[in-house]
Formats: sequence, structure tokens, C-alpha cells
Amino acid sequence: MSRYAYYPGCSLETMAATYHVSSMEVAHKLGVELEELEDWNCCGATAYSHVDELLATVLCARNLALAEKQGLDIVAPCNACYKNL
Amino acid sequence: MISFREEVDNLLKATEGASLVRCIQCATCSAACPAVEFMDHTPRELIGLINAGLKEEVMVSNSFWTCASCYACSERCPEGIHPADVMYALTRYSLWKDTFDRDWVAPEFSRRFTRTILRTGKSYEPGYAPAFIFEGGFPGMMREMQMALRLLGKGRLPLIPSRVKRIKGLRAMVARVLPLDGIQ
Repeated sequence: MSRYAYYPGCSLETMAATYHVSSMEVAHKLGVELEELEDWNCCGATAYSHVDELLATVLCARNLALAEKQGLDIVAPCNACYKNL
Repeated sequence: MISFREEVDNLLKATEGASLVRCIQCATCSAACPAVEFMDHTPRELIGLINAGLKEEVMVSNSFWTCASCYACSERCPEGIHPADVMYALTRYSLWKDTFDRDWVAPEFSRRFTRTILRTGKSYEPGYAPAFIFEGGFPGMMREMQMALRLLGKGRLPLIPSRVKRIKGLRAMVARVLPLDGIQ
């Protein structure tokens, strides 16, 4: 069974909660084990890049560092989070 | 003196996209854009204006603040230009140079959004959305409130903001790249 660090992102945690539920279901059916990235922060998409590019990169770096600590590759269903990570 | 096109290319140095000089004006970006009907200039026109050095016309255009950041243009450009990154570069440029229209919602939204993240580490819509509820007039306000109630009914509108536990670590990282009072 493959295991991944799961990055829900701010939207899937709240307004797009339905997407989170279906992602978990699909992963379960496919036999993919998802372990939520511990203490993740916002991915740094869109609005930061309007303000400061380096800031957007720093937010990403923290998430990637956390995944490295967990020793897992990272999975993000949200397209903006995925693009940024 | 460098041309406006070189100036914009310089803003894009850290990104993966090709130089704007490669643009063949095919309008694939404009065709892919879901926000194009709200823009003063289509992405193709905007890049054309930049390449022609028409800086003033570009800087008063609402196009880059209207970009929805879906990256469809960057995915499809046959020349490897990333128009979405061009849009970002121009929004930052208009904030630095203070040339954006005060009536636009997007610059203020981006600032509020960024401030929220620097405080809690995660996005929290109820924290900054109410500031813009009057933008659509009374009918717009009613629509927003109806949507909020429907979201609330489905448990999709959080009442308590979720926070990053080790926020100090995140803030320390951010402080390395910009002073925390840098976002006004």
C-alpha cells in the first residue's frame, strides 16, 4: 500500500469540504493511504503572488519541509495548492 | 534605458516562463481565459501592449487584477510563456508603484488575505470577506448573505478560524524575507 502526506489546503478544510470527502473515498478505494501533513499552513497561492513572490515561496517551503520530516511524498487535490507546491 | 518589455521580463526572471519576446500573438491564452470577459484587455492584447512598450496603457488596465489565477494560459501557451506569472508581476508592480485604481476590490482583498495568513497561517474567509459585502450593492449583499447561510447549513463556513500550531516558526520564516509590517 502506498502512503502519502496529504495536504488538504484551506479550501478543502472549509468551503470545499465535499472535495475533501470524495478525495479520501477515492484514495481509500485505490488503496492509497493518506496521512495528513502535520501542522500545515496555507499553500501561498494567488493573493501572495500579488503582494510578494518570495513570501509565496516561503509558505510553500514550510509545507515541503514538514513533508520531508514526515518522510513522505506530498499529495494535494486542490489545483492551486498543487501548482504552488 | 531599458524598454517596458525588458522591465516586465526582469520581473519574471525567477519564474519558469519564456520571455515575452517569444509571443506570436496566437491568442491561445485569451481563448483559455475564464475571466477574459471582465478584462479591459485580453491576455494576448496585454502582452502585445507590453511588447509595444505602451506602459501607461498597460498600467491602467484592470486585466492583471482580474486574473483568476487558474493558470490555463500558462498551461497552453505554445511558446512557453506563463501569462499568469505576467499578471502577478504586473499586480506587484502596480502595488509598488502605487498605480492601481482605488476603486478596485482585488488589491485590498489581496492585502487583507495576506495579513490573515501572516496572523494565523491559514485562510479564513469570514475574516476578510465581510469587508467587501457592500461591493455589489443591496442585491449583491443579499446574494452573499444567502450563500453564507447555505454554506453554514452544510457546515462549510467555519465560525472559528483554524490556526497553525507552530505559528511562531512560520512567522520567523516570513520575517526572514520581509518585515512583518511590510504588508500594509
